[in-house]
Formats: sequence, structure tokens, C-alpha cells
Amino acid sequence: MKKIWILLLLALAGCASDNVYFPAPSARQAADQIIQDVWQPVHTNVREER
Amino acid sequence: MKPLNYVFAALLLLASLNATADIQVNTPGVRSVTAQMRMRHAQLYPYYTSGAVGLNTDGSIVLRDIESVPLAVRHKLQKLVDAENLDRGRLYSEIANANAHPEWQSAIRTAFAPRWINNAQHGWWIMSDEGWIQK
Repeated sequence: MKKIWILLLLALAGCASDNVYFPAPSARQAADQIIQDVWQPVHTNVREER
Repeated sequence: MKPLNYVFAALLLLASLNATADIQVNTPGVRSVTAQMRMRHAQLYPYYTSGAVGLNTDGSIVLRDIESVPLAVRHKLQKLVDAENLDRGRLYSEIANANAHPEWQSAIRTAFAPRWINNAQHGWWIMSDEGWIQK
């Protein structure tokens, strides 16, 4: 019974520390979303720099 | 409820929290930086297509062919490139802070870097292992 407790507490600690891992797939998705927003198609009537 | 059941419940809760650990980007700070970048993009766009400005592998942009730019706008273009790189740094830090992990800033930069290149239009110049190439 004591062993089960130790295992469970270890698993719990593992889960809690998981939250500090960087969610890379979600970050890539967020990057695409932001880049596509920032790089929206430029309209042809944009003034050309001289 | 037995104490053991509480531990199982906590495990389930934490597991479900981890499953939904998404990067949050919808904050006023992020929106304000991206609004600036969107406006600046309209000015930078012709220089991406002309090849005067290229995309670096580290998620920044570079004035790679200054000779192709009329003398009168070189200074202005350099300032645009510098401002864009500053804002990109600001964006990565805003996202890291918005997710309560300021230490994620460099990981966010690393996640963004290949995505800029992937989303770039055909014909834009990108840095590669062999130097500058046209996408």
C-alpha cells in the first residue's frame, strides 16, 4: 500500500512539472496564425516607397 | 472518499490540464505589436519581392542587397528593418509573458524562425546553408 502511495505521488509530481515544458506544436500553430495575420495580402493600392 | 481517490482525481485533473496546454497569443500586448507589424509589412513588402530584404534563419530580417535600393530610401529602409526586428523580439517576449513563462522567449523565437520562412511567398529571398537562395 505504501508503495502505491509513493508511485502515485511521483506521478503527481511528474504531471505538475509537465506544465513547465514548452508546448512546441502549439507554438508553431500560434506562429503560423500570427505570421499569416501580419503578412495579410498587401493591396495593390499601397503607396510604393520612393 | 478514500485519500487514494483524491490522488487519482488530482492526477486526472492535472493530466487534462496538460492536454490543453496551448500557447496563448490573444492578449492586448501581442495584438498591439502585431498591428504595428501588419502596417510595416505594407512598406516592407516591395523589398521582399525585389530581394533587397531577405529572411534570416533566426527569425529576423536582413537588408541583404542595399545596392538595389535607391540612395534616397536606404536609410529609411534600414530603419524599417531594424524596427521590424525589434518588434519581432517584442512579440516573442509578449507571448512568453502572456503565458506566464518569460523564460520561453528564446523557445518561441526558435518556433517562429522556420515558420516565417515557410509562410514566405515564392520569390522572396531566404538564408540557407548555402547562403541566400530564392524561395
